[in-house]
Amino acid sequence: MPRFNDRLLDGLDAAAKRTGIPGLVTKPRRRHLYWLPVVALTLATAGIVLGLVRTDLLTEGYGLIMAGFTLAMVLPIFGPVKIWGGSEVVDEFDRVMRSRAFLAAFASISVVAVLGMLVSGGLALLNGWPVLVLVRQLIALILYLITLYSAVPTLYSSWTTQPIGEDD
Amino acid sequence: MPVIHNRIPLFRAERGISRRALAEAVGVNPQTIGYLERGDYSPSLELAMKIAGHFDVPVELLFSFQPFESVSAALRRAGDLQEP
Repeated sequence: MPRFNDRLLDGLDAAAKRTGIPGLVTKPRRRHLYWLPVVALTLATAGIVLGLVRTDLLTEGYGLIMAGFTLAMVLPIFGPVKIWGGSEVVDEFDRVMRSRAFLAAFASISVVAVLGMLVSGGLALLNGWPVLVLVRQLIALILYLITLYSAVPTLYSSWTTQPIGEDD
Repeated sequence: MPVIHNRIPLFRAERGISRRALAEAVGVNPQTIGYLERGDYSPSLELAMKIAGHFDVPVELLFSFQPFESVSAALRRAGDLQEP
């Protein structure tokens, strides 16, 4: 019986390895992503500006923000910044780079959050937006801030360091 | 922030140690050794002393605020000193 269990577990392990997912978890292929964060931020920025300028196109703007948001969610998996609590070996260089990258992200989030609230509130007062429109604008702003949190660290670390191989 | 120059590539070449082997010995990723060698990153005191300890040399022989003399210049100077 134990031998049958071993064979069964080995078989399950082999099947799991064949999917390629364990390989992604144990050693993800990290690389410098120069343009993907730019694309994600451009989409999201276009979306939020569109929603603010043309409230009749708020849904389309929301769609653009969601496109940028979705792309930004993938960046931490493959970008150069190693996430907290991952299985990868994190040394002092990784920690320093991560600190700098997230400092840049939090600075940009702070500025955009304050500006976004001021602009949304101001436009709501000037144009007499219904409460529902203002709520949707604020939801769009929150999604935009999450996009920044996800994309800016990858953007920062990709553009401030040059890629290097293991034995260049 | 002042640039910290280093002679890690020279010592690695002299001892025949790969970047990966040095990285494993001092507990960092091979890319970090690459960034150090390229001058893109200044190490912590702990890492600098670990690397110096691995090569069994004083830390000031490996790291300096001043650029190190090139090998050819050092050999030329040594040759000049030996001539009568």
